[in-house]
Amino acid sequence: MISLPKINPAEIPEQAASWADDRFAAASPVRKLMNKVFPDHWSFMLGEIALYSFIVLLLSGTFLALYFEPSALEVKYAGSYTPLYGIEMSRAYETTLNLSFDVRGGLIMRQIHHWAALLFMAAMVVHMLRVFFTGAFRRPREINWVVGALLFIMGFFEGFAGYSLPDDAISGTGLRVMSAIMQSTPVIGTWFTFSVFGGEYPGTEILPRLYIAHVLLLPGLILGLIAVHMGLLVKQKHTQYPGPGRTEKNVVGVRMVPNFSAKAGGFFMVVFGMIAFLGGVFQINPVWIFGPYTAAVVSAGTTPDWYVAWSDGALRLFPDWEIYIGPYTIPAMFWPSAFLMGAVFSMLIGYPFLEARLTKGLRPPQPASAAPGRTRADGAGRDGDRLHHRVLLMSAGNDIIAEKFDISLNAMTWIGRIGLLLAPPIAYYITYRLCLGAQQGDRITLAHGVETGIIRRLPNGEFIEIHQPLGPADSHGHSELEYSGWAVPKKMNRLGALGNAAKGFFVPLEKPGEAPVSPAPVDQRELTRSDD
Amino acid sequence: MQQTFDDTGIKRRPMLKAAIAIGAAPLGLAIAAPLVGALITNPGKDPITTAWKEGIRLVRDDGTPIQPGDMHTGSIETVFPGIPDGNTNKYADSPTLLIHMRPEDAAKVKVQPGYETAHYGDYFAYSKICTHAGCPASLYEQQTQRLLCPCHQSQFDLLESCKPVFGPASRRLPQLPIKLDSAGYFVAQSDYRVPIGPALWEHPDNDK
Repeated sequence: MISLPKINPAEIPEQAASWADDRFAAASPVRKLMNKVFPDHWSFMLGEIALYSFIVLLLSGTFLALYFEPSALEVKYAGSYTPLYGIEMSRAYETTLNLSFDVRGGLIMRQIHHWAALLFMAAMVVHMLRVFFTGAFRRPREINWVVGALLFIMGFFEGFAGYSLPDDAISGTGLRVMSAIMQSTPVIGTWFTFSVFGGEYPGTEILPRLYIAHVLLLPGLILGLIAVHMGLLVKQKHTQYPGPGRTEKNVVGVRMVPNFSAKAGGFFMVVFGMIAFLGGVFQINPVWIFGPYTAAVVSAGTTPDWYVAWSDGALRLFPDWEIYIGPYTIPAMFWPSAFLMGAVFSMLIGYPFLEARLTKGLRPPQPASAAPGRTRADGAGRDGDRLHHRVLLMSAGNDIIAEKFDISLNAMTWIGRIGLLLAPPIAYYITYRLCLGAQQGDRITLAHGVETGIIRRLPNGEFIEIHQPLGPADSHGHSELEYSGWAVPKKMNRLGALGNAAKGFFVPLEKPGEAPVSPAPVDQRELTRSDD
Repeated sequence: MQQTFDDTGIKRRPMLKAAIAIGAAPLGLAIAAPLVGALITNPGKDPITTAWKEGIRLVRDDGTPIQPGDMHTGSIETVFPGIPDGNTNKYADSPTLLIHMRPEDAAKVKVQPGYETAHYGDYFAYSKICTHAGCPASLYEQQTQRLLCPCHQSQFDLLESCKPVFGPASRRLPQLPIKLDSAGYFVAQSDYRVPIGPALWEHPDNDK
């Protein structure tokens, strides 16, 4: 009889770990990674949502790829959706219908994929806003901003390629508009369009080409860029809001193992669950209603997915200004489409460098010291940019808005045109004034102290409110504190006077802490007694 | 000697860098050429021609030809070239709108110079492909005599031979000259005289 060596289960992890360490010398880098500290602020989860939706996209997309054929081959539909029975359509549209009606679980996968794509783009945009408004893109992290901007741009085209694939009436029309955009490029436009489509629009080449771009080239690029994005993040560390004990050299928060990995794992499940819920309950892109794409058919309310909508809105608003150079034409369409996209994407990529050049020496380079207070006024300009986007986005739905609210379509177009020019400067001015006002308020608090809410009546009958000075005060109670750009406490509980607010949204999650001995003036008790 | 070099103002290091860049550029092109070369397609005459020719019938989606009297006054019909696969995306540039205008409206139409005989009675044919972004301009407003493109809301006035009157489009919907063949069905007199669809760099008719 062979006697097996006794295995002590408790030693297995250690043995496996030392087995791996003997071969890969992994202990040191893994320990470093496990000890990486993640800041503990909610706004840092926005990028995570984008990452998790991308994982969902890869999983659901792989499923779809097993059943979808990107072929322009003409077929007669014979599937189980009777309203389209016997209709001529492309194989791509037929396999999309099959995915929706004949493949078990196909429809929820399609819807999960589409919802995840919308969430991916939305999470990236919100994440970018966080990075933008906290100044986290500044030196030394400009390159990671560029990588992030490229991720957004790749996602934009990846999404466009994806929703062009089913070859339904709406996606085909979108592709027609895209071909017109490419064709509007001066000098190379016509040749470029014919090269991309392999001949005159639509041809039979474009679907397989889009497919390879959608399932191989762009996801590959996105994956690679995500790896760079994460690598740079680990190398350069997170940014963080300024606060006690926080410097440019450290990060205050939780370690990768165990806290962050547990949190992130749970959060991934939440994101996955949310997308599955959306995909399972809310219908999205019901291609069988739109019918197959033919060049002669279009329906009203043809709009792209939301993240492409700003470019469609621009197309609707730009006037009919064609330019002629000798025998050649620059189509009016060039400016609100190819040119605008190029300009927006270049601005996005180049912003950190542009800002550094324009504000040379004015601005602390690093975010922990570049506190929100000081940058409040800068934010105003960015609000203006976002409003541009908002107006364009709204205009992409101008016909739907006009129909639902019973406004003339032409009036909507003019509202959009005027709004595009007027709204951003107005918003800039208002935000700028608000920021200056907020700064002024902070300065007043620094000089006069925090309002305690305690009113005292003086012997001469005058009422005064007692202020708690924030620093050494002169005989009038005025401090000489310099405005440093960071948030100023404006309530007594921020000074520890009344204990912290209890946490919890609907019900308190914890017992409110015991209020420390209040630094309130001695005669407070007398005041309350007089109320009785 | 050194003095002379300094006087030129050319620094050695940037000069070397520029020389390397100029030298490497053709190498990059040589790598890119075979990858991109296979894709390049000569547009030829395709962007400015359609399937329409003299004598080709205007047929419905189901392939039936159309006679005057088949359509009510004040109605439109999408027609395709009467050739095999004429109604498919193989001829995505050819869908055309045949419009039977009310006689009182037809009398008011300002015909473009050179197009005096392009219509047949109260029947006018215009390209259905919007000159802005190429969507089908398919919404017919009978009361205002306008065609509206649902994609970006360009509007074309039928009383002015489909001149753009609102929105982003800058060109007319081209008019297809039509007549009747010996059997009494609508046929094209020729192809469109100007390119249909969105504008392009090489647009031969660059005055709207």
